[in-house]
Amino acid sequence: MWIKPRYLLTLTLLLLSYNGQSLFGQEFKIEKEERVGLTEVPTQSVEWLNAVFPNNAKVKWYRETTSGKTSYEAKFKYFNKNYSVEFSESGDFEDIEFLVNWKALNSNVKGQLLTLLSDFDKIKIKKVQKQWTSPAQELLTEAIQKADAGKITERFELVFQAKKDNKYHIWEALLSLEKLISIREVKLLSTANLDF
Amino acid sequence: MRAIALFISMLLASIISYGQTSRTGLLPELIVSKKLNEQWQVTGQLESMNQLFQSTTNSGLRSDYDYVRTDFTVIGTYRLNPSIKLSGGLLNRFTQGEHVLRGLQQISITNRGSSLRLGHRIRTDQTYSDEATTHRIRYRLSKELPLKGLTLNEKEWYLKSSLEHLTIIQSSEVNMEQRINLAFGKLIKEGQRLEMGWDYRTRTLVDWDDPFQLWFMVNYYISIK
Repeated sequence: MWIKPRYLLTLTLLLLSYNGQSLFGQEFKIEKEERVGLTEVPTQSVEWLNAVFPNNAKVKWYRETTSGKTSYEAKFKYFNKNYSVEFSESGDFEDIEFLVNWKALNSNVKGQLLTLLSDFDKIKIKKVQKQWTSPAQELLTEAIQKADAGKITERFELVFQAKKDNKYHIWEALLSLEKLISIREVKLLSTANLDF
Repeated sequence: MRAIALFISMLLASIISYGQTSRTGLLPELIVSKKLNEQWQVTGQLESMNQLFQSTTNSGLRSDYDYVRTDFTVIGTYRLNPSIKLSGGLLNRFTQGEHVLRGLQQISITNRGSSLRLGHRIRTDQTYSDEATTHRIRYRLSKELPLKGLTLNEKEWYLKSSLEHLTIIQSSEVNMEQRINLAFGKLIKEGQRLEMGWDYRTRTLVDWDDPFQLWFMVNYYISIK
């Protein structure tokens, strides 16, 4: 007689407590993103990943399309860091990103990044990722092992809420410590189904 | 897929298992939102509640159609920022020969995670009828999770669940109600969603023998820019 309420409550609580891929990943809407199997990923991407991140068993692969460009992304946890490694459609390595805590960043770095975003008011940082790139695979491997970006290129990808021209939006920006490389307004889905 | 299997088995269990004096039926709803400018939007909601079955301890489950009510709500919303919205509105309830008015005010907060969206809603409302005004204060926590991949794309399905607590005050009497929603949704295209699932309402979640209402929801959301 009381199977149903218990089922409903238990399942709802389970779903409410499930965080999905909560720690990293694509936070906001892109044109298309889908999970793909290992066999659908270019072989050279898989080989590159195995070389730079050896003994890495739990990798989830995704295929993304943004602005007509297709890419492959590997997401995984490696030595307590959440990584996202992007490859081109043909399988060439593009960049490594990993989630960092804004509060834990060096205050000079934070100050410099905020200076580059001085066109925006009321900035609220939602997500920060460090982006590492290098044409030399061995330098990236060394950087990952030593957690030191000294010999490679380090950039920052920031997702933030801010006011510009008197309008509030969420933005995604790619910055180096010297300049704002690119920025786009994040497209948000309607929240009507959560509000009403 | 496991979630879908669980949902279907739960649905089947729902149909055959009843408490005392419980009712179930259909609760279709159309929600249309129109963005007026960057800050303001207006929303119209049309919802109809129709009982199909009733169950009492003595009679068991029996088919018993009963038109319960139709609600038409108009809500104005002010967007403070991409995460927080303030809303106020008026609900018109048409029951069998009776017209009831309800004022409502709410604050809704959306947290966007990597693959999910979490919605908090605090709402107060006042129901005016021939009896003493009923005041309610309610909090709802909702979660939306894409079923394929990390982001919700067009034509993709998602799972939505929510828990809501209501405290109801009429004269000096205080009552409570708990609501559990569990639904599958589909992002038809940008600005249009379909959700189907169960809306379970009861006084308490502790006493499983307590009477409850179980409504099959079919919600269609249209957002016009």
